[in-house]
Amino acid sequence: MIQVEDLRFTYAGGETPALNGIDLRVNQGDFMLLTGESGSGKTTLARILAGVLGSEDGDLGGSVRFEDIDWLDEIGPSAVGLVQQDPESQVVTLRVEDEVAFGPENLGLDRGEIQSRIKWALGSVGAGRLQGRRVSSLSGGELQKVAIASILALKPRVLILDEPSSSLDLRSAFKLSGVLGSLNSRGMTIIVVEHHYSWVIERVKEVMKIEEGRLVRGKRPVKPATRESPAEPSFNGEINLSLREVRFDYGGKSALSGVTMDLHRGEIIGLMGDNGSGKSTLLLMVMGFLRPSAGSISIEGQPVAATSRIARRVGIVFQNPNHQILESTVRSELLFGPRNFGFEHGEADRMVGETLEETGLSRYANENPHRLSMGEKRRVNVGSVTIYGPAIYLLDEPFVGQDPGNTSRIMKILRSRVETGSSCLISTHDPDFALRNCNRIAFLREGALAHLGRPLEVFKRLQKEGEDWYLPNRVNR
Amino acid sequence: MRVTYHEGSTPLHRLNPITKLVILLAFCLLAIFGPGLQVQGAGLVLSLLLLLSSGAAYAGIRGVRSLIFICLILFLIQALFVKTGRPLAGFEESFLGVNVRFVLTSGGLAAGARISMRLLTIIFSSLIFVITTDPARLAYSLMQAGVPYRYGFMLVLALRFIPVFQSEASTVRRAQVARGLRVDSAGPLGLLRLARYTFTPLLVSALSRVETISSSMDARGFGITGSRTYLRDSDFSILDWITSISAVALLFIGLVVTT
Repeated sequence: MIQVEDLRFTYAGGETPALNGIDLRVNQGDFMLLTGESGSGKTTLARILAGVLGSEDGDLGGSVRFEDIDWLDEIGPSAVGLVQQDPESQVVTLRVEDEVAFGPENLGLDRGEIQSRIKWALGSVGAGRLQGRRVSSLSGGELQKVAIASILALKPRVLILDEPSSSLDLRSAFKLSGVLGSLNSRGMTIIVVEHHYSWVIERVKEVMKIEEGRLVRGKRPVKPATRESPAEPSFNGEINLSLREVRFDYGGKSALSGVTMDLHRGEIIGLMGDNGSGKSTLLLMVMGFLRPSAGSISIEGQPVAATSRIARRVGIVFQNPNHQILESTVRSELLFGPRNFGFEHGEADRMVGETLEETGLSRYANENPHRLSMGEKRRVNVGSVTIYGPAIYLLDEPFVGQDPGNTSRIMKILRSRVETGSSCLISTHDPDFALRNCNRIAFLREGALAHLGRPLEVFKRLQKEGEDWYLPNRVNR
Repeated sequence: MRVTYHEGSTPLHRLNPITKLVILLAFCLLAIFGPGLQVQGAGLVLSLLLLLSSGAAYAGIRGVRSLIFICLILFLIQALFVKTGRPLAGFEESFLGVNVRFVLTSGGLAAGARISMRLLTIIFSSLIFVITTDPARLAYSLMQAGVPYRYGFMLVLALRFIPVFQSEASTVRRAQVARGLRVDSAGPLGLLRLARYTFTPLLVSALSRVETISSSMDARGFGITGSRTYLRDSDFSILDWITSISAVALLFIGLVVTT
């Protein structure tokens, strides 16, 4: 169906090729997984196949044929549909039905045809009941379904999804896997571009891997060798952070209620649960940005005050790297905290040197951090907080879209802080990550703390409750 | 001050947004050029009655209470300082050796009434429009009435992303405070730096969204045909015609016939 031969692509203004001689065959009815580290070129390949990236965006060579059409010359919408990584940014309109109608309207179809396509497309992803909703009222999983339906409404023959699970919780990701399976069984060719693929691997018929712009036939991934969770920390059980019966009401509803837990010195707790279960709310409250409606939070024995009063002792890393890069060089970005907290010049410079080394960013010291890759930006974010050595680290889904290499590099830095008496609260959707790195897991369900305990213990309880999507590979299969 | 669209199904909600633009325009013209207090008063009463039928008059008026307060101040200033027409009441008093003389005149009252009624009519008719018009429907109606769809979708995209940017801005400010930036004690130079610390991350994030959104629009065929079709039925109903013609007729009567 699609035949790619010796495809090469270098972005305009770039030096190294993003794709360096790709050969690929996609057959009608395939379900293909395209994987590879970040920056390996998999998104570039997906965008060229979908026709949104072409010779006007860089230096393009080789050939892509779609059946008998020379694809690179005759790119048009509808034959290959692409669902991009971030559903929030690709939705154009304000209502679900307008969004699904957007493509058919552009093609100039008549109203009756548009209506029947909306019904079909939303039905195909199991989202028929969303038709009249406002886009702003949708959850991440619902938004993703609408993004897929809005592509399906063009009746593509191939559907490409670029990291579709990155904004989803595991429950929604497994539901998405079911949707893709049923589309595939009805003849739709599907290509999923992912590096966290445990949610979809059962459906995949073929695995391809991109390494440095070249394609290698991938093996079906084997179960990762999972280490045991880290042992209980020492420090005689000293408590860094303590929450007692914490409740937070928002818009007449409780976003959190009755949360009681302690974070000990030397401990990493993984905060898990569906989107909307209260994970981010909890982190924002500990940081002093939101005040509990009831209950109390104390840090090193002191009740949580305004953020500016506790900022020196509590550091936070938000989900999107771009939202927390404030300065124009990596060096000054790292200096931002120490300067505000009144460190002496010489002392601060020494700390910057150490942090640059530790994060592997020394050669970028004078570069603009916004020009770095997502993985490097993430290391800048973490370094800009670890540099002033807070007692508590809060991280809100820090590893979304990060490849395993960068994740373990960052965890090594955090672990070194924890071993000297700090503690971490990390929200994550990745059970394998939690199993390997966390001393305990706190599992939130609809704002309540459903489980708190050692990772394997919590996973076993989740398994008993039938929440299989939350289990790491080791327990799951 | 924050007034937004309220979902509802009143007759005003059902009207085509373009009809409501005609109504808004008619009220504003009447308020600005309407001769005499009676005509302006009639305009004010009519706009208030329509506002009361919008289903969210109370929330709307609450949202603009500062503007209404300004109308009151303007009325008082005019009433106290304009001294034309016949005197209605007054007093003269010696206070700490200073002679204070105050006269309320018919001309002052009329001038105060004119300016405050004018503003109130404009405020009420704008409220009617904002409360009952779904901005997205406005964009789609304008496009179907002949506004080029590229401009129409600029409006749709703005409406779509303003709340997204608002929430991003709040994350950026939180990131600054969390790393020890003191917002309260910043001097003029500090304020400038503060603006840069907020503006740059937002701009970078916006630019990365622009790429995604334009790919998303291209990939779905935006702009490949000169004329696109629309799912939304934006027909101008008989009620729209009747309402628009009545609005223009009333404006004509108010401006020309009564003069």
